[in-house]
Order: sequence, then C-alpha cells, then structure tokens
Amino acid sequence: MSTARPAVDAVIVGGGWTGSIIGKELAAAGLKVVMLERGEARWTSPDYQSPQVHDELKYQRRNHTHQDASKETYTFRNTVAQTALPMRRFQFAFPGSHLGGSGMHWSGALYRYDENEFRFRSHYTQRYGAGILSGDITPRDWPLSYAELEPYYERFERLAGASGQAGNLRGKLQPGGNPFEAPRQGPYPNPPMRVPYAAALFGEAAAGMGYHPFIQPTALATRPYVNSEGLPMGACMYCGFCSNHGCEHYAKASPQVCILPNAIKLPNFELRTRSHALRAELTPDGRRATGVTYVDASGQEVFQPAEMVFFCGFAINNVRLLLLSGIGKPYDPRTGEGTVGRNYSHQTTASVNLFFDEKTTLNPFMGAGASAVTMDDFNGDNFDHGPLGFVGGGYIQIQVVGGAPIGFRPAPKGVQSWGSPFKKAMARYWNHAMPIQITGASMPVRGGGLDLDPTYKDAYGQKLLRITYDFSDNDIKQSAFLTAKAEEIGKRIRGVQISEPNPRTKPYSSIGYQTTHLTGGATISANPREGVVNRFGQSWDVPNVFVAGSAVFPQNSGYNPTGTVGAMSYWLVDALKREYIRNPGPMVRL
Amino acid sequence: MSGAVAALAAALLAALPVRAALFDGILGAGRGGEPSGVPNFAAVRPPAAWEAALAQGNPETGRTLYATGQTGETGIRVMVCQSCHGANGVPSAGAPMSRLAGVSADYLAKELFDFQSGRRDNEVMRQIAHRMSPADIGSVAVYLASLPPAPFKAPPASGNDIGRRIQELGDNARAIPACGNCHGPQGQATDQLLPPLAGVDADYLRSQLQEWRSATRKNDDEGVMRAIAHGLTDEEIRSLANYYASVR
Repeated sequence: MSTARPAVDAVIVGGGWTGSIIGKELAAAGLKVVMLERGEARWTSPDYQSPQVHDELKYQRRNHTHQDASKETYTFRNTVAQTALPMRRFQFAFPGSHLGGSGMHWSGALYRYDENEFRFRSHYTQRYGAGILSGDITPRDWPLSYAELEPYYERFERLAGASGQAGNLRGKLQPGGNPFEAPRQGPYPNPPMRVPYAAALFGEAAAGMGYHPFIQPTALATRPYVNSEGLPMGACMYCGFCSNHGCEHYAKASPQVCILPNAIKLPNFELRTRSHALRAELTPDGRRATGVTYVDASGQEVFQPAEMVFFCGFAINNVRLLLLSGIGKPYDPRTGEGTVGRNYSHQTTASVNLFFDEKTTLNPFMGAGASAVTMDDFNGDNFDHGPLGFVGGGYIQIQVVGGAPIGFRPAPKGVQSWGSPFKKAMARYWNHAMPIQITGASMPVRGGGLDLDPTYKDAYGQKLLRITYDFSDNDIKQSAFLTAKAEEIGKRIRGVQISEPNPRTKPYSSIGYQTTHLTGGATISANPREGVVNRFGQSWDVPNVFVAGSAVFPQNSGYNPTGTVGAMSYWLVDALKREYIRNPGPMVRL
Repeated sequence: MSGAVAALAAALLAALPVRAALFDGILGAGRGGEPSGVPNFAAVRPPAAWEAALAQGNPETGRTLYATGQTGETGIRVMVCQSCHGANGVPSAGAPMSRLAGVSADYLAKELFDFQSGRRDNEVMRQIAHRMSPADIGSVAVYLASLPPAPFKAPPASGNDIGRRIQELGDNARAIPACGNCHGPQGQATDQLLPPLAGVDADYLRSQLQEWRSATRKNDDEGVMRAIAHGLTDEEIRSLANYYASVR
C-alpha cells in the first residue's frame, strides 16, 4: 500500500543526462516536474575532489558510481537454448547510478552519427543489395534524419562544452578535422584536446598510410568555458582518472556540472534522490499512465501521480521499466512477435596490443577519458563493403586514458601472470605499451533480446532483466577486418616491437569489459508494428509515457552514443513544447 | 545567466586568444606532397624558451647569481635575488615575496621568461629578468629547485576555515575546484608547472589571487587560474592567503 504524493505534470525516472535535460526544460516551460534518482545526490564539490577521487580501487573496481549489482543486476545467456544466470559483478558494462548516472562516470567521447546511420537498412540495401544484410541481423532505418537532428546535436555540444575540430562545415571540408563526418552548421565550442604521445605516434603512422586521423571530439572542456546554461566548466587536466571517476575540475561534462544546478533553482523542479522507481502505474484499460510507484529512502512505497511519465534511467533499464509496467507487447525471440525487448545490441570492440622499445616512453598516466587520435576510414560505410560481406564499421584509435596500476598491467602474451616474470614484465612494459582500440557497430540479432527473467528477482522483489545476446557473424567478420587494418597500422608505428591482434570472437562473453554502450529494446520506429516508441520517443501504446536514451536506438553504431542521446533528449523536449503540452495525445498519427 | 557568470564569460572571451586553426597550418602532406588536411602528428613542438634554458643551467653559476647578482655575462649584474627572496630561497617571515626554495625548476624558469617578455607584469622583476640570459635563467632555476624547501608544518586545527574549505573542497556553486587538486594537500605541490603554496607569504599570495581575479596576471595555461579566481570574494582570498601562510 503506497502513500500518494500531490500530483505533478511530469515524473522523470532517472537523474542522468536525459532526465536532467528533459526535466529542466519542462520545468523552465512552467511544468511541475519531479525527478526520481535511485542513488545519492553527489556533486563535484565536495564529492569528487582530490586526492580521494583518484582512488582506482573505489571507483574502477568497487563500482562507487555504478549500479549496485547486489541489489539489481541482469541475467545473461547467449541463446534461448540456455538458462540465463545473474551477473554477480558488472564486468561487461558499467550501468551508472547516483546523480548524473552514466553521464557522470563516462569518459567523454562525443560523436554525432553520420547521415547513413539514420537510414541504415535503406542505405546498405540501395548500395549493395539486400543480400548484404545477413539473415539473422535486424538493423533498421530511424524514422528521422541526421538533418533533422543536426540542430539538437549542436545544442547538446554547447551544453557539454564540446572540444574538437570541425571536419565538415556546411558541406565544406575543413583541414584538421574528420573528413567523414556529417556536415555541421558551426564549429565546436572549444578547441580539440591535446594529443598524448602514443596517440600522436598512431596518427603519424595512419597518415603515412594515406588514412585521415584526427583528434577525437570530446565533452571534456579544453579551457574554462561557460556553457549554454550559463554554467561554468573548467579545463581538463589530463589527470588519468577519468572513466568511472567524477571530475574534480568541472571539465568532464556531466548533468550536475552542466544543467542540474539550473534545474534545481526552478521552484517547480524537485529532485528526489534515494528514490528507486519500481514501475509506472496504468489505468485499468492500460492506455494511460497515472504516475510512478517508487521506494523512498526509508524503504516505503510511494506513488507519484503525474500527467506524463519519462523513463530516463540507464539505457536498457528503461526497457525493464516498460516490461514491469506492462506497457507494450514483450518480444519473444522464438516467435518474432512483440516489440518490447527487441533489437538489443552492445558494441563490437577489439584491440591490437602494442609493445614498444625502451626508448619510447609513453607516460600513460597523462591521460583523459577520451584523449585520442582516431580515424573513420573504416567506420560507417566509408569504405566498400561489397567484397567483404558485412555491414557496419568502426573507429580505430589510440586513446590514452590513464595508467592506474590495478588495471594497467600490460604484458605480451605468454608472460606468466604472477611472480617474478610478471613483475619484470610490468617494469619493462608499463611505460612502453599501449593498445590500438577498435569500436565497431553492433547488429541486433533475431534470436536475441531483452525480457523479464522467470527465476531471478532484485532486492525489491521485481524480476530482473534477462539479456539474450550473441554476436552475429556479421559483427565477427567486421571485427576481423577492422582488427587486421589496425594491426597493419600498429606495425608501422615508430618504436613498436610486438603487436598482438585481439579481434572479437564468439560467443559473446559478459565477463569482459567492452563498452557501456548498451542499445535497443525500446526501439524507435515509423509504426507500432516494428518498434516501441515513435520518432520522438513517445510510447505507441501509452501516449503519456516517453522513453529516452539509447534504448530507442534500433542498432548500435561504430560511435559512442552519448552525443546522440543528448541530441535526442532536446529533440523530444522540443516536440513536447511544440505539440504535446498544448495538445496531449499521440504526436505521430498514422 | 547570473551577473557574475556573465562577467566571467565576457572576461574569458576577451582575455583568451581564440585558437584559429588548431595546428596553425601545421598540416601533413598528402601522397603527392600537397597539404592533405590531416594534422601533422609527427610535428614536434619546439621546446619552450624556458625548457631550452634549463638544459643550459648550471647550479653553481645559479648559486653565485642568486647570492651576488653576478650574471654569466661579465659586467652585468642584477639586483641581488637573496636580498628580497631570502638566503636559501626562503624569504624572512613577513616579507611579501614568493618562496623559491625547492620550487620546480620548470616553473621558476618559465616565470622568469614571462617577466622578461611582459607576459607576467611586474616592473621590478622585468628589469631583473631583462638582464638575464637564457643560461642565467636556467642556472638560477636549477639552483633554487635543488634547495630544501622550508620545513613543512601542519596548519593549526582551526582558523581560516573559509580558506581551508576552499583549498580542500572547492565550491560547487561557482565550479571552483579545490586548490589542493593541483597545488597538493596543504599546498605541498610537486608539480612541474605550478608552485607549491605551503608557507607562502600571505600578502604575496593575496596579491597574486587578486591579480588572477582581475586578469592583471595572465600567464596561466588556458586561463585556468583567472577563471578560478574570478569567483573568489575578498574574504575568501584573505582566508586562503592566511591559511597557506599558516603552513610554515
């Protein structure tokens, strides 16, 4: 039996990027907004200052900024023929928790998708014939174009203090940028990151082979910057403790640096932390949400009535919320029926480990979450897929993130991983090793998806989300191709003595970190048969429920998703201000 | 945007040189030798003037220069450094000078070049630096860096609470990071390009924070100190200065 709070216009589940943008914009438009964040309120000062924030054990190993797997985890299996088991410890990805969510602990790589990504299926079919999309993969077109989203990409970049060199300004290629990028209307707000030595060596080798390396764009401000909200950001100090940590310098864009202080100033915006949302409640006919039930800090169930419900939690957790709320028809991979949970994918990562001579000193500790030299020559459809037999591509880069000693222990294959030989290898290679990283697109497969586990429950008694996923042959071929290309570059890098390629192999394993870019399950579609939400993120089934974040992506690209996540949040909120608020109801009528 | 932040935004735009093309034209060559549009990642930044000077530095020459004002060039003398900055690079208590002993050679050399060029504005130091050659600068820098710093004493448990809080935690509302993040706990930095603050004279530190705040001093990388100091109040500057001075 829950206590009910006074009704509001909008209840937002999740205190990350999407919830913060949507919540603040709706409150600024005059709506009464409540944001429910399951974790604690944490702010740059005092919570993320040195020296304590440079604690690798706490932040990178003991999940200080992540979802608590002992309370809520996922079960995992590769195929429906297997029984899924719970992940006791997150290794495959780091779902975020606490204020800011993954948007606080992320690494700041900031990309726009390219034009072809939004018409993925049509584009590949037109250029290569439908046969190139192998039988088991199910990528789709988005029901919107890059051109429509472009102004919203720019808005998010100005919010985040994006640092980079434009490669394509209004169709005109710009020196020093990425020649493959989709056209931008304006430059980045801040200049590009400084280039770590290992990344420069990569760029030198790649350029020498005729490729087009460029400095990766980031949401790590490269100089003091006042963002589009009028909030100040500091300059990145390349401290080497970025990913999974809070940024002590206010340089890494996060909700609590870039927008929440302004949301909280609004009298009609209320942030409730330690408030764990259980589900949306629906009217008896299931056509309308009445609000959200959540568990507050004292363990009591509370009902928050609202006119609009926003699922803004971590990526696939929004799919779980839909399933637990009984919204939409769950996907069954055996029959192919239903939409909620369909088209889940992760990302296809690979690496080439490089070991350098002793003269080449790399100083890995001078790193930032996204300071990299990267190239898109083999991303998207920037190369001829015809003879290759797969779709999608990825970026190839050297990114210098840090050299923290628990995680950074490079040694060539064959060196035993304990004792005296191990220590000798650490001494020899710690300052003379760096991997080339490959981040590739990831296709959803017909036999995979997300649903509610029949056996395992979370600490609140609710069914866990079950992930059924394996790589498609498409992705394995793609990874082999990209890794071979990366190895060719690696061998030409000055100082390299040993190069070890590690292409992705099957089966997909949930016990190695890949990326935190989980996508799909609540996919965006042109009609309710194919997906869960319309082009704005509004549920086809329950029009006052909205889903934000990467759960709406129909497949994952060879880029980091957060730029698109931020852009889509502004896109949704503009549609709400333009249409829904004055005239509630389905915004896409068929 | 609040008034204070709007002022900060305007100050940043006015004071910082906007980088034009990132590589200022240092683009790589394509296969045929034409500019390819790809940055030249093999380009090596030439060493900054102060880096080159350090390579020429001789601590013995530096010791002589510091104590007598005698530069490496016969007949050219400067004001004797130690008469203001103290014997052994530690100014006497109450002297509003920066401490130099045990400070990074890189930082000291850079500041001397900045005084010389006017990038850091101080007439007395400009006259002195003006008469020093790169080798002189390098020598005095490596000499001072080799000296033991003044003994560290933990600050008293209470007092200067405002300064103590800012140096330890910063301030969220103004996006001010804790001073200690860069300058070290209780100001005991060992970084190459920024000074330790432990034991610095209170009047000197107050004057520098005020100069950062008004952007009178502007030789900081990316304008970081200007942006940080911009939001500090007079009371906070006073308290920070007193706090760091108490660490001696």
